[in-house]
Amino acid sequence: MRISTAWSQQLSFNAMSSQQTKLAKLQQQLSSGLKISAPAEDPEAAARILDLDKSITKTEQYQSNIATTRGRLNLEESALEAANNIIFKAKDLTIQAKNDTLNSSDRLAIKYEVDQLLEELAGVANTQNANGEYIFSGDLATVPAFARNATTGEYAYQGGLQQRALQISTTRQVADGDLGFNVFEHINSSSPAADENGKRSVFNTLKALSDGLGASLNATAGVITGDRFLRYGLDYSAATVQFDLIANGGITAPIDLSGQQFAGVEDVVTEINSQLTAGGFSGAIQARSNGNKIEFASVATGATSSIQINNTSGTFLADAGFAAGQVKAGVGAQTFQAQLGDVLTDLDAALGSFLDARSSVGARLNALDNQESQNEKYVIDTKSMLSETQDLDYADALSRYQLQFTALQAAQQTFTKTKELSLFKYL
Amino acid sequence: MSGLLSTSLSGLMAAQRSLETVQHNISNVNTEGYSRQRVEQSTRMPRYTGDGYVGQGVQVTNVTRSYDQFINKQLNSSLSAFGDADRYRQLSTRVDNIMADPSTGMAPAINRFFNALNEVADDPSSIPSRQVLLSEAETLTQSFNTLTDRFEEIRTQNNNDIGAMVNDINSLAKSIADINVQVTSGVGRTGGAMLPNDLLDEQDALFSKLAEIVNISVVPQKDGSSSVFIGNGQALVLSGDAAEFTTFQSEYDPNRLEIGLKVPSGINNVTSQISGGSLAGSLRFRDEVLDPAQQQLGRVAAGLAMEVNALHEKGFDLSGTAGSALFNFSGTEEVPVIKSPLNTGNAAVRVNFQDVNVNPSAAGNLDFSDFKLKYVGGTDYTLTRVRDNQVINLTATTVAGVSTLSFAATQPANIDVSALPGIDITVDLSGGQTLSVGDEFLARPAYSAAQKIGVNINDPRKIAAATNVEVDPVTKLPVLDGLGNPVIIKGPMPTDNRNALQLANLGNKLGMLGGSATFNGAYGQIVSSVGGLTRASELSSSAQQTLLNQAKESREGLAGVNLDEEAANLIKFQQAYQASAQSISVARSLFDTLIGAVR
Repeated sequence: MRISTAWSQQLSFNAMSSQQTKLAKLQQQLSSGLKISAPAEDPEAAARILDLDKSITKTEQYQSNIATTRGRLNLEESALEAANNIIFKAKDLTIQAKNDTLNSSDRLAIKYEVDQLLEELAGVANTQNANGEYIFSGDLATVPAFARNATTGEYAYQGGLQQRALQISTTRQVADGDLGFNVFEHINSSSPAADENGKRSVFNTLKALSDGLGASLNATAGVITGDRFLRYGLDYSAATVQFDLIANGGITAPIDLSGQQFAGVEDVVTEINSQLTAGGFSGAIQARSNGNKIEFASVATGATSSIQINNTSGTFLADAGFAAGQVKAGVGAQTFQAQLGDVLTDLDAALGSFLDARSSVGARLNALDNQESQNEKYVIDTKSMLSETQDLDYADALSRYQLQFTALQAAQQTFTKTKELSLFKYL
Repeated sequence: MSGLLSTSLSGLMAAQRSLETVQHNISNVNTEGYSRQRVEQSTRMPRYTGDGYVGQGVQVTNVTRSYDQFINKQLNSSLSAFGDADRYRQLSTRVDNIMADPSTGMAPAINRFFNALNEVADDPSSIPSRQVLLSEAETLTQSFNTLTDRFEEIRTQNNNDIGAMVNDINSLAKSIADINVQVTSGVGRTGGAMLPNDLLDEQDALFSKLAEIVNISVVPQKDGSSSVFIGNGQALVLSGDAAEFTTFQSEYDPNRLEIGLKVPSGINNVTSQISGGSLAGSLRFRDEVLDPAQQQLGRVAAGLAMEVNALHEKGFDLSGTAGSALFNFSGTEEVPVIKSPLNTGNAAVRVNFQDVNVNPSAAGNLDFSDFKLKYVGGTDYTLTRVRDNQVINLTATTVAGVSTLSFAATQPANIDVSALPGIDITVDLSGGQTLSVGDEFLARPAYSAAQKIGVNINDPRKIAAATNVEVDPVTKLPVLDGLGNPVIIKGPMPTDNRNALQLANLGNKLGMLGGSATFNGAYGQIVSSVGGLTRASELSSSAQQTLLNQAKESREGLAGVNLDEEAANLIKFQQAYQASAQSISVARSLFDTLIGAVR
């Protein structure tokens, strides 16, 4: 067949140009170390690389979450250990104090030590982490977990209600602490001074010990505490809200909060107390705050005192966490030995509560370790898969580069040789 | 005796013509579109003598070019096919490279945004982590914006190219028509017996140039001129007249160019008739790669904003205030709606993205296509999905003059959706606004979403990391109100991270593409679909290249100049010339002999 001169030149040029393209492509691969430089070279692999990248960054984020959680749990663990030691010491002192041979000044000496322990325990319960967050305050970690009530002198929990959890894998969350409420306050008690749920906070237990040692074996008043979170107050600006507080089974004080708005629990307390004063009930009934909750107490103490709440209209009882008709009577004074005996039992219960928290922390730390090694393995596997998908096989690429290089050289040499052939040279 | 001289002379002349033609061929060895020429010779009419018919030498009957209509037609159609495939490949490669570019890559930005959410969940009261989240959200929206801007740049350039190509078509058509006039007169001069070869070559070259831009069919006419048609018989050149093409803006989108043919009554839209050539490649790229990529990116942006905003608005910020939208779309309306200029009513149509809190599958239902809303009459509307012309019937419920359109009970057969595509549509007929049957509106939910997305808040304290749901610390269950709904604490819960955790987990949610993909997965699908189209275009471009080379080879085999061949011809005709000259010399010596004999 005929071949035109221009076309034969074009053919050689086409061949060289395609060799050069391949060579440039290989050179790009070799310099970037990547098999794929644009999605078109392997669309499916391009999408897979995005997926693998996402899995890796996500899992690395989980690893960082695990490290954060571990740090926080370790801090909680040491706080719990400190609390444990304090209670052990308090127990020793209680046993020592129960000894009948001690005189009142000996007991006072012990009392001062117990007061110190109480302060120390409050310090532990208000441990802060590096960010200044109170570790036992849950989702309200900007306020101390426990604060002393100015009226009652008791420590009350004022943190949040929810323990924060962190994501440690796609499907798994781990709490990075425990609520001070559950660890220090919500502890089973055998004492008559326990609240209506049969619970007494470890601070109140230590306070009872201190009071006993100070020879104040007081009778207690009837107290009912709402279990709802009223830190941010109540809004009755468009509602009719009335209820009755009944003291000692006979003195009925009507309270009316209709049309009012309260910014915080203290505002509610102030308003109710002023209504009680206005109605002449302030000698019988008192409203108080208990951390973020509200409580009502009879002023009189002893078995004949009691406090009851009854709804007239509106939603106050539900909003503040009272049952309709909820009632609690006071108890008479205990003997010294009985009061300290209950303290001893309750301190054991507190130790039990700390132990529960510590074992739960330990279990969580374990889970973190397990998840961490799983995540680590996953990252390694995914990275190797990613490498297989996107990284260049240098040996293979270099040998192909050599081959392509030789091919281009051959094409260039044949071109110049062929061009030398011309009949015109012989004319 | 004089016959001797004249016969030799005819050989001399013929050889001279042939030599001229060989030289013409050699000179044009590198001329694009040149067809080699050869001299056709025949014997002259013999003279009758008593001895019989005596040959009178040679005559040149014609100078012809090696030309095959079929081969040229094949070449032109290959040029069109390659022009189309190669333009499409060049443009898709640009989009593909943008997708692969890590500086514009969406995937890392999406990953970092969700990681920043995780950091906020780890430390919800920390202002620095919240600040990082805001910057990552900013980076994410900027990545969406940048990527769309790059698409827009390509669109602008593509539009400029389309305009330039239409100008080229017009000037080529004009030149072809001019040559037609010359050819007709050249052919007429010889009574149709001889053709102006070089003019025809020039015209063929113009056909090839035209074929690179658009698929043409060339029909030779009796007078030697050629008519050129585009598409389904739109005449571009008829003898000496060339039609004029132009570009004009689409009815609904000023950034979309349509191709028109100027006729006395105005402009005919011939966009759909353009096939083959780089013009078709540009148009195909726009419809198959560029617009879908931009729309699918917009769908990811819209879906992300819908899901994140819905959850963010359910949460509470550091000061205990309910969260506002984290992302917004700039402009007065979320979804641009364009009124058809043919509408006779003046009612306004509003389209907004659905609230995921109201319809949990809204983000999954989003479609990347544009939608055409048409008023059918009564309470009936139709919504046409532009990408595949799927019709969805809608029914209007009117309250106080504002009609809200919902998915109708009766739908066309084979419909593949069962709800509105993640958008709410209202028609405002209040205040005497009217709507006529047949009025049309175009809504473009996904098209500009990635360009318009931005971050709505700039105060890190406003990030709603908390849910503020009150729980019982002992049972760890939410406290319910009288209606059974969780009670919300109305104040700041600075270290409540529950909403941030849920937001961070949105990164793992299969909420896109009908609940089959994460945001990252949906983006990955765009990458792989653009990659797939680009790859296919590379393959088809290289296949068309091979076919084009074959066509060129057949044409060059027939019409191309081979210098060796011409060298051989040069020798051949030189020898013929020398021989003829020699025979003249012989004739002269014969004369001399004769004259000498007489003397």
